[in-house]
Amino acid sequence: MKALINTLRLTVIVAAAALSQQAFAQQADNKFDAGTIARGKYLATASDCMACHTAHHGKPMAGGLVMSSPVGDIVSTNITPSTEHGIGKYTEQQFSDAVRKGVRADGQMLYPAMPYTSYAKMTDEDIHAMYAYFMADVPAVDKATAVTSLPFPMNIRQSMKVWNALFLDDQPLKAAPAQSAQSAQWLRGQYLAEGAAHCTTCHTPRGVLMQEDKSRHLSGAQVGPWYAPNITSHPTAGIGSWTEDELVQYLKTGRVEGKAQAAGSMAEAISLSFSHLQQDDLKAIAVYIKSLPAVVGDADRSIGPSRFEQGQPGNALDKIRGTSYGENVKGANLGAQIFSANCASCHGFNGQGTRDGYYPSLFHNSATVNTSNLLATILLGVDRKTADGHVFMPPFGDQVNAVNHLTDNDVAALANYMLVQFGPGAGKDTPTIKPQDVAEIREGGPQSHLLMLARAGALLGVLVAALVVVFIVRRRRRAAAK
Amino acid sequence: MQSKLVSRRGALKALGALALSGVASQLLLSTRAVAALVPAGQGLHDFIAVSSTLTGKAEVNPTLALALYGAFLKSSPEIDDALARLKTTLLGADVLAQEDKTAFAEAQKAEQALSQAILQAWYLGVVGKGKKSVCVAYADTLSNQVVADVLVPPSFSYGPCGSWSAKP
Amino acid sequence: MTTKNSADVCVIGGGICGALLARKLSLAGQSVLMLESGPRVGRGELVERYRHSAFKSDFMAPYPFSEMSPHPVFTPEANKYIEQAGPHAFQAQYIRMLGGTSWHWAAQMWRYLPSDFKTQSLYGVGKDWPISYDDLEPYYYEAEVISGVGGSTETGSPRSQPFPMEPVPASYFQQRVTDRLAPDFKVLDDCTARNSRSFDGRPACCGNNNCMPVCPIDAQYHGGIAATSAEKAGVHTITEAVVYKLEHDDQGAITAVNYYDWNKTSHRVTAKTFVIAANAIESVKLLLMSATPQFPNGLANRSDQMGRNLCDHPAIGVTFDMDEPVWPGRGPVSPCSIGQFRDGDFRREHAPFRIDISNASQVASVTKELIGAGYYGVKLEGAIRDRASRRVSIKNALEQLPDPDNRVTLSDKKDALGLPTPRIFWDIDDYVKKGTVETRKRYDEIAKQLGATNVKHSKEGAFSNRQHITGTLSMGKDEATSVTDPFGRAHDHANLYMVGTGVMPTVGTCNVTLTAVALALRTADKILSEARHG
Repeated sequence: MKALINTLRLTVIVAAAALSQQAFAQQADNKFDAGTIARGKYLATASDCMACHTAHHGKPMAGGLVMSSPVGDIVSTNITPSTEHGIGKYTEQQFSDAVRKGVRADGQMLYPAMPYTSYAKMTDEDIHAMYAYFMADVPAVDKATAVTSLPFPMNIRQSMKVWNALFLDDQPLKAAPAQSAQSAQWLRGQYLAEGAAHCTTCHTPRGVLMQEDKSRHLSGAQVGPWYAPNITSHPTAGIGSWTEDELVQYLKTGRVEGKAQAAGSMAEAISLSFSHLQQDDLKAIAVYIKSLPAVVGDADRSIGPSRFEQGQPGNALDKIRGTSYGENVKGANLGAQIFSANCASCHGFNGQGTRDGYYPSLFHNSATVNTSNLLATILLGVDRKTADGHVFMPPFGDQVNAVNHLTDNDVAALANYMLVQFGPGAGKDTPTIKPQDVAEIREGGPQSHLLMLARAGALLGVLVAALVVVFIVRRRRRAAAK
Repeated sequence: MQSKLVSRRGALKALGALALSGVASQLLLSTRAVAALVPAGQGLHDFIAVSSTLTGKAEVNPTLALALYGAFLKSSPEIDDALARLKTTLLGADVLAQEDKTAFAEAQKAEQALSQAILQAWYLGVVGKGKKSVCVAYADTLSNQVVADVLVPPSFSYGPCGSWSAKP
Repeated sequence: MTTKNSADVCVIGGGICGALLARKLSLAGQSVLMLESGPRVGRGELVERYRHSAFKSDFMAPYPFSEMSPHPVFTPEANKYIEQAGPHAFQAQYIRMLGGTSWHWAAQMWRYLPSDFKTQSLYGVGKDWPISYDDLEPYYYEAEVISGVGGSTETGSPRSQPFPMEPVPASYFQQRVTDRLAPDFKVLDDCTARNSRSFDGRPACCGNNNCMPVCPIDAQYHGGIAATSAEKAGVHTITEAVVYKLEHDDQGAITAVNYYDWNKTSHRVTAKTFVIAANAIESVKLLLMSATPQFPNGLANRSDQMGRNLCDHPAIGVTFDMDEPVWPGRGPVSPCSIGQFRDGDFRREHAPFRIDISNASQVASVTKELIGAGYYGVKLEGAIRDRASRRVSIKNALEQLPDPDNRVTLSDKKDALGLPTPRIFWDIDDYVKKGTVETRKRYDEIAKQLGATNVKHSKEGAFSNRQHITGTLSMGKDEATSVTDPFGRAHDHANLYMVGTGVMPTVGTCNVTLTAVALALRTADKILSEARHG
């Protein structure tokens, strides 16, 4: 009898718990429907939140990725719905303010490493869907990340208010009268490219205060160790020679044979974001991007062959045969010897790549025209996963899995050899790479002058204030002495 | 065109000159053009002529020719005389009577050995025997070129993993 | 705490076994010092040395020779580092460099068959191991996971877990040969540590067809990768450190190790535990050199078995031209083999063997052959294409039985550091000779089924070495007839362990590296459990 009662009690307790659980779940479910969540997930993919907000081998959206910026290291935050360490307590308004205005729930400003300047263009409906996705579909990770602390005075986040006032256009995209003649497809492409896909945050050069230079929209800019090239419609400086289909293929797979292959942050963007977008959206982005005005960027020549058409196959084997490896690396043929020892087995002894282009040729390849990209590719390799497969070039820097650890001197000689052999060729316009250029790329890219200027400015400010104080004190003393 | 018989030093100088002038290995010049390019010795001319005959190619790669000849010169100073003799022998009726194999006479053992050494040089990029061997060329040797539509020389990549499953 | 001169564990030899044991100990919290007699050499240099070499078929040519840490050289002239004292020359090829000899292998990672461990009980020949296949199985898997092994599931070696790596796709050549030889002969995918996808931060195989002598892109696992991973795990490595003497106390415990650096300065290293991983020949040399009045026959040698029972897989080969163009040279060089003659009751009578079908490019060898036969001109080119497309090269691996007279000792010659060089006595027994008769029959059958012409067997009575060196540090339960216990621990010295192929009592019917690595990982576990229990 006692056993029966106990069993009954247990049953009631369990049933109650189950019912309340279900109610809870229903409550949560009622907040967001499956369709909205799915749309939010798609938009989050288009916005590539994953790329920055997930550490290497870390849990999705849990932050902790350290990114080197021109003003110091920035650590991404945990944006899972963890109530302790993530955005679990964010209201939709707070979520919107963070994503579109760069303001955290605690009132602190975000650095524009978070591309809120682009996300500002997203509509309220889309922000709502993304909020739904993050709250309902991303597993909460209850783990704190390291805190970003940039060097003084960049660590004063309130200074971002001034910056935003000057440079943030925080209105969602509205069809301007001139643009209303454009097709729905173009408008969709504009919405994605300028908003979620935030192309401009990498591909547009920035001014002294690190604001985008809108007059040179998408004409190319340095992003850490990589250079995001000119993607305007200029026939030689940009991608004017590409068809829309080629651009779609590039976004889907990271590769257009004989033209370009994605590495670094773009490879990541393709793997995590673009390759998952619907064909219609990719086509829309291509239509929009291809319609943009032609601009010649800093790294481009306005005439002459494009970055896709330079160089020719060839080798310098006659210079290194007959002498030993040890002798060759001490002499003038270091670059040719390093090439043969490290690059030729995959890229061919004439730089011609493999027959089917699986390993690309090194001539007619934009990677051997731009100095940053050449050095970054050598030091960091390429790692790109798409439906096409896994494209992998091992690195040659300091990594554990580097095929060989090449020194700054080795890489400089190698890169100079490649620029002459496969790139722009020998000539006064071809830069000569020095070991310190390699070191700079190895350390994450050129540093901005902004830090130095800000500090100089702050010091100047302090000096001026001190002089003013001295002046006032002296005047008072003189007045007192009279 | 008259060409003087130049000393061994002269031939080595010519080698250096061509190397410095950085002629790309892809460039194929006719033997006459090569002769015009550099004040070469008779030895180099004979080497090119004999190489052309033995490999069956009207034109031989001049950069490679220079490098191989240089290697022969280094290992045997009397190479010019040997080349002259071989050239004469090959002009004789019998040696190349068959299309596929040479037919040297018993008394022509030295010429036969040199002809095989020259073929080894062009086809395998190696000059000399035993401890004195030196590798002058690898990827661009004739044996690798002759199968280049199907194979890639070892230590160079064929293609993505599994691409070798298809019938060549 | 590791300093330059002391650590919990001192590992002598930085090859694949020593490095993976060192790594395992370090990951478990031991401080480990690894001493390697040779230098650290970069892959790019090795690839270029291969391309510059006039002896492309000599797999040792890319590896630099050093007087300070000498290895045997046979091409173009023998350096007589090894004094050959027996009727058959033991042409050992090994690399003394950080990473060891597996720098120039084809990544063959095979499990023994269960019967390989007990040929004496089953067939009345050879020796029984002191452990069984089941004892080693989990360590086989551990080694396979570390190195990324894939292969055929029909080898006869039972598995508790599937292969961690998908097999590398078969070339057209392998497919044709497999189809033509079926059903009489079953051609299987080899078990190899070769990436068929990018793994461990290393790319997938892209068909460099250069596994031996060196993979340009690290698509296959090897000791160099093991050494790097050991260093990443905290192992302190000193290269160019030639160990020449072990010191011991009155109880026989090893107390210190002495090594020369390449300037001939002597250094002394102390540790609690010592592991010798210097290959089956050099380890013997070191232990014999360390003889003292208390151990006059060398350390770990009261049984007088040190250096004895030397085995390899003697090999004979055949080449012929198949009747259809199949183009070997596309993909990895050793992709497949025939295993149906590895086991059976016939092992009572004659040596078992595995038949290996080569996929190495035949272009250079047919070119040499044709030039030597007088071919020239356009016909030479046609003949090169024709033969290179149809040339099949096959060799085998015969199991040799352990014979105490086959042994490694010290010669009277000294190297540049004043250390004695090895002397080897090696002979081939009737068991193997009967096995070669069987092999030749099979070779002829295979050639016939492939419509072969131009069949050439290797010279009668001559054998080549496969470099699978076992027996010299044999493990066993009986102290009188073995050098180490079932965990590789020296019977006579409680804190001295040995790893490498030398501890294997028999050579089996397949490549020996996976077994040696599995044993090394098991030895590492033993060292750790001893360390925990004091």
